[in-house]
Amino acid sequence: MTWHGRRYIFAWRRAVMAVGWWLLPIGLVGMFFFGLMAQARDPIGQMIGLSAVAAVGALIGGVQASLILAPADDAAFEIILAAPRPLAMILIERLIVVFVMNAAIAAVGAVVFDLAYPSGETVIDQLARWFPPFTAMVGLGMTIAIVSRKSGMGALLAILLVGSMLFGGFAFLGLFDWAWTLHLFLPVDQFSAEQVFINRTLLTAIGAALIAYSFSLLRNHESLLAAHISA
Amino acid sequence: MMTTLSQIGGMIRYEALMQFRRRTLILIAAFFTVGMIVLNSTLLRSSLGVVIDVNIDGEQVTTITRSPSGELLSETTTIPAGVNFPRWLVDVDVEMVSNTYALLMGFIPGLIVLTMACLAMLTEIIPLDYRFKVDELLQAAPLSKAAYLAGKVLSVWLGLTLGLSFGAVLIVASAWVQFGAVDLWLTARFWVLVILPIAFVASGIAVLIGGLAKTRRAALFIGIAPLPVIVTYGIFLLVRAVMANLIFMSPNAPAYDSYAAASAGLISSYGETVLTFIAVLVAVWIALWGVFRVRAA
Repeated sequence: MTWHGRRYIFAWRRAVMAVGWWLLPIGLVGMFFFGLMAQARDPIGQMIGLSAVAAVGALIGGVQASLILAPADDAAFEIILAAPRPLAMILIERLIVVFVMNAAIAAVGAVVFDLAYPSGETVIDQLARWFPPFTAMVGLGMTIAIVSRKSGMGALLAILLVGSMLFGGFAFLGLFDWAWTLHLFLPVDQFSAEQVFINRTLLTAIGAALIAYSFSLLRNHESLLAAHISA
Repeated sequence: MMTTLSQIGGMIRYEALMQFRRRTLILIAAFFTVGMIVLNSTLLRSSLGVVIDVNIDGEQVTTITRSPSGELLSETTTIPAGVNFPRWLVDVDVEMVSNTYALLMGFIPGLIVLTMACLAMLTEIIPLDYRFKVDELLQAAPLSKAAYLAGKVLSVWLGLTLGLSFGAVLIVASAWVQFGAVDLWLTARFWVLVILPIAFVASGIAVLIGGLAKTRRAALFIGIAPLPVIVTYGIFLLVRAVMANLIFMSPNAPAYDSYAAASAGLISSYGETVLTFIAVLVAVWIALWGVFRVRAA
């Protein structure tokens, strides 16, 4: 391989390790557990209901995305910036890993959840529920981790947003007329098909925009190194 | 002894300064303060009205509630059998009590958020010593592991006390301006005896368990791993304390004959919950001290 070609080589194994692959089996157990809770008519299980796969998936996606790149968490970040391999390659390979692994887990999770709590929803239905909030949380986690330079900040915001939408989403819907457009886990039985479509499209667009914005942040090396703060 | 105290004092001072520069504690305090103000002014008050008067006639209770739109609503209910309704409400400024209880109730989700923020953000404190190679210097210094851990934890507590106290003033001032008078004495006691201890326990556990990791990334994992258990257990204990004290028609509400007694009961009920958390902190502290001793040996 030429030197130029080696600049664009992928480091898959490192990417899998970096984003915390072990969160996924824990998430799978969580999806099954919430299914069992819903089946047992537990109040929390019933409140989460059919959103379990989407909620756990979005939570794990947000946390993993915050681990993709956090300048303050990577020792000797200057060396990474000085390497011939473009910084964007790290984001690309880790994003691919996060999306592929999470899609697989969400599909398996949908089957497992249905075993615990038979609802009649297909895997496709569950994946359609999962993808928009997942993309939004990935975008949010990545952006916050890069802007704040700490993965902890991105993970925290993802946890808080998913948690508050899951347990306080009904209050959010009651508070603002437009809340249904941004609700992460919109109860589909209470809204029209058009509203659900708009909600999912908007969440996906927000996630995609945030992901694109995080790529644009990589251009400012001074900011990534916090040179503007320490100068 | 004096040397150890002097070492701990020095660590507290310099660690607190370092954390101020890293902005983590400022972020946590600001996050909590802004979150509480937003929660109080939107979610909590928009869904619940404010009870402004209560009349009791035998087992019949008539409550006058001001709805979020300003409308006065009257509702008469019969006290269910076995419920200790707070009959002392007829002798107090009901609106002030209602405002105060709504403010205190809002702190329950606030405390859960604060716990989560501490666990996600403060586990990095000891691993940063490994990253910047300060641990090599510390191992060469005549500093005991107990003093090291105490310095780390106490410096965070100092920063949190300052940050949350400033936040408390803003939260109470905001509630007062928006909704009217609140009971400052009860709120202050609640702050000192419930909120600060829970913040201390959460931050202490975060700092200590973070010591198991040597990198920030690993510390973050260690911090968020126990979140589901801690949050679920915390919600259960705190909500149980709320149900018994802040919701008037709760079947678990203890009987009090005056507002002063109800306030004292509220604080002591939370105090029992906080004691459970403190016991967990002490156990974690001793365990981590043991781990550090073994590592150093």
